[in-house]
Amino acid sequence: MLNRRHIIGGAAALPAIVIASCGVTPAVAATRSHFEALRLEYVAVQKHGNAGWDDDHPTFLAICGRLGEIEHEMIHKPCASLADARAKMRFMMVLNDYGTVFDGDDSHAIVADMSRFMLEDAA
Amino acid sequence: MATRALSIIVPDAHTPAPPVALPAPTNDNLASWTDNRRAKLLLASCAASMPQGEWHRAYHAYGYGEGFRYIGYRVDALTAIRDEHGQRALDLFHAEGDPAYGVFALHCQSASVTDAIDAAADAALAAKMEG
Repeated sequence: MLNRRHIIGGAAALPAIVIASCGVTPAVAATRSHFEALRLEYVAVQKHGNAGWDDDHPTFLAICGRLGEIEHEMIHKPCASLADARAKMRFMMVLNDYGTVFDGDDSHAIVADMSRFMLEDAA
Repeated sequence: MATRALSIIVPDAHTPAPPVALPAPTNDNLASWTDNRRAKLLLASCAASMPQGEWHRAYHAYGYGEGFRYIGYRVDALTAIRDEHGQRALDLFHAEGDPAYGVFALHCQSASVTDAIDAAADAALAAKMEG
């Protein structure tokens, strides 16, 4: 079934994904970047989504909506610092852990945005 | 849990004294980003005149398809307020350690910008129908 956000039903029954990165400690606190906060929120929301919700449960729909918002912000909001680029790169690693792959245009956009700062730092 | 967020709110006549000594409050508006004064004004504005929306790609594990979001400068401002709220909650966690993680966890369960606008519109409609 399709709901308001065009989320395909049935996916809620996916096996729970163990998210080791939820146990972040202050000792590994990242350099300040709001993208890092978004990345950690994405992980926490995803974990909340693995609680076995019905596909059309309002909480589950809200979870899906928030994940989509974070993805959109990661793709379309440009980095302003090296810390932002590093946070986005960590976000891409989280997506890789989930087996999530961006489409071509969005993937190119986020990689190009990150690369600008990463290459400047390396130079 | 939600009770953790209350521990950093500036105590007042309605807030019982905490059972343990707490660090000095970092700020007074971490209860929810929708409690931010400017967020309230923006949400009221959106409820009175709804922003436009668009469908965008969604990639997350629960559905590879499209997601709906509102767009426009008011939405951008609300997003900035929400992001700043999350950043401050994370900063608090980094500064205070595990006991403060509940604040960030609470933020992670707070309404998205899209849902907050929808909720504001629903509340405005309900108030209009009752009034």
